[in-house]
Amino acid sequence: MAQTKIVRWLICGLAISLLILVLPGTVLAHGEGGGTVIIGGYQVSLVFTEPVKAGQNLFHVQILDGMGMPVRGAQVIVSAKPAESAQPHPGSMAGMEGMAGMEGMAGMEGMAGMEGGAQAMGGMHGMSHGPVAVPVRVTANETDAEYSGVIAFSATGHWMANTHAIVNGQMLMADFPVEVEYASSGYAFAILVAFIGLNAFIIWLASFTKRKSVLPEPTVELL
Amino acid sequence: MTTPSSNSAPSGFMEGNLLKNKWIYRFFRSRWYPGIIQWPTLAIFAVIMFDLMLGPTVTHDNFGSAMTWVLWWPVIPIIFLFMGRFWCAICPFATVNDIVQDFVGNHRPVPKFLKKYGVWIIDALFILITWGDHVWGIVDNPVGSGVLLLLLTTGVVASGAFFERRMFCRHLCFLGGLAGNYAQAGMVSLHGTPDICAQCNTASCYKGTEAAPGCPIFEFPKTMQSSANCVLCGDCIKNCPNGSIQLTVRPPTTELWFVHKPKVEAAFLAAVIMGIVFVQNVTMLEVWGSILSWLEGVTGTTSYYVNFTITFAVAIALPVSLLAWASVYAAKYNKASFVDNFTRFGYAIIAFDLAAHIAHNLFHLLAEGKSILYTGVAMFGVDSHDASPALAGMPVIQTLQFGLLGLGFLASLYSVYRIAESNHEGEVVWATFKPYALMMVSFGILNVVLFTLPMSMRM
Repeated sequence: MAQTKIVRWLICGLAISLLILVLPGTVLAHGEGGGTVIIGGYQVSLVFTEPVKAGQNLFHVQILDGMGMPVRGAQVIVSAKPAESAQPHPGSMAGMEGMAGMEGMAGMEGMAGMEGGAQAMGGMHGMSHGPVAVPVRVTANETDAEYSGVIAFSATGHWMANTHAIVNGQMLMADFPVEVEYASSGYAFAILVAFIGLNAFIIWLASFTKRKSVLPEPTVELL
Repeated sequence: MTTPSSNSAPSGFMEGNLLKNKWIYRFFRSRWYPGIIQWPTLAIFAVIMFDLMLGPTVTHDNFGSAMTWVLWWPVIPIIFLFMGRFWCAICPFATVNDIVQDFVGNHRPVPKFLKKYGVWIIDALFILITWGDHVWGIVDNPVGSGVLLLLLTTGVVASGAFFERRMFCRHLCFLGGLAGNYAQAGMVSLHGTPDICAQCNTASCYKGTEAAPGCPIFEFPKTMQSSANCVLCGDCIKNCPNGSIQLTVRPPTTELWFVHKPKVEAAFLAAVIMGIVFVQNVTMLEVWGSILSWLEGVTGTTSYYVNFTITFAVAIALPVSLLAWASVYAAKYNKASFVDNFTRFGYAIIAFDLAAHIAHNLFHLLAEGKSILYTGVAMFGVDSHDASPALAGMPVIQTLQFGLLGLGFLASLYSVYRIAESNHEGEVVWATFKPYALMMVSFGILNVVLFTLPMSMRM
């Protein structure tokens, strides 16, 4: 029995070690987006102020010239489309007509931020398994050589953001991969805390009532 | 050391006692079994829970989602078919139950209402969880999947803390209800040797000994005539002082032909599962949008909750109604009561349920199987987003799916015949067979139509 207990603790220890090992990778893996690209002698940066979530997200675009000075007076448009939209289903090649209508939504620009629409689509669960990702396009406003705006991602998943800037008549286009996470992911911690609290209470209550009661023999119901 | 019985052990093909093999016997009697499988399973479960709750929030990237819905859920009915309820012996929830029980268990007796209505509660939970998946997106949302598993964990913690043995597994686990049904169509059976058990008054298999605790699922192998509640934990094999326990392999669905104590709630669940397979597919139809629009017009609300619930209710009511109709029709000829017919012949649907369930999930396993690897290596920073997750091409998958549906249909049809034959005689057998055969044909046509339509991926 002692050996069995040692093995149990070893396995638990191994699982905990694995979780700790995995933690940094998973935390960094979601809600990411933006970056910096050098194009045509300019350095274009797209920054999201917070981890990117489904719904509205504040972004900043900064353009630096070859001297590292911020560029003023540019026209900046940021657009985004799902990186994996219309990913064909290996099982549905023969009968995708029914889904085609759904995929066609991907071309409906201007639906950005239509959360109600996204929810309605999300309701069509069986077809899409989640809200439909709709491309968005936003014009950034300039404030002190920094271009900012709010972009709405209609669904979670992998998106590709594109900055389209016109600087002194020169067009600069850069792509940035964006990972959009659920807006409610923060609640996962709260749920976990509630779960741990509830279960700790149950265990405490059981230990309390166990001390007060005399253990009965298990009821034998042979037939 | 006791040895397995050689008495009464059938020697025909597939019917010999597996415990006569010394290696299998030693394995089941070993104190390492089932712990050697149970504990690694719990460790993997911990990783899955962690990833579901705190890992990538996109299902496509979540290792927990892949393990749960692409590997575990598709594989579990296959396990039930080939190995009965073996999964329940190594289930992490059962392990949590046992751990909590070891520390603080009050060992109170199971409430009477659970003994009486437990399977109905399981039926209701199964329906609720399936409905919840559609309206809240449990499978589509890692946190949603995590919350479901946390709720189940809380259930087993409470069960282990206050009640004796594995009360939750026997009376409340929705998967246990499903497993109980499927295990009866499965290929493995554990039971005592009647001649030996008749001489035994110790009831060690039920009460437990120093070697192992008593049956965790409250079964008594001496009188056990069904595999519905045997989890193959091996405790009775360790405890039996006479080596009476037999582990035999049998042709699938055999048990369904001669159910000794059929339960109406188990028959109802069998029909409900068929309805759930329908609803899983119906929501993928091209006309699903039109159906929703029409329902919105009828109900006067655009609430997806309301309109889906109506669809869900209709899909579940369809097989239940067909079974009820066949039972009423058959009663005219076999003179059995409606409830008796409904209960006995409801079991015949289990074979088709199992086949349709495996066929449905085979798509997810084979078309998305590599996502388990991709999401697994992604936890260590390896990106493989552009790689195909498919393990097999669609022609292979569809061939397997329709093959399974065909086998399930034939198995159910044959079960109907055998049930009719074992309960009636002469022309009544065929008169009873016909309405249920018509019901099975209806299920078959519906399934074939639905399986030809495209399916959505889980990942």
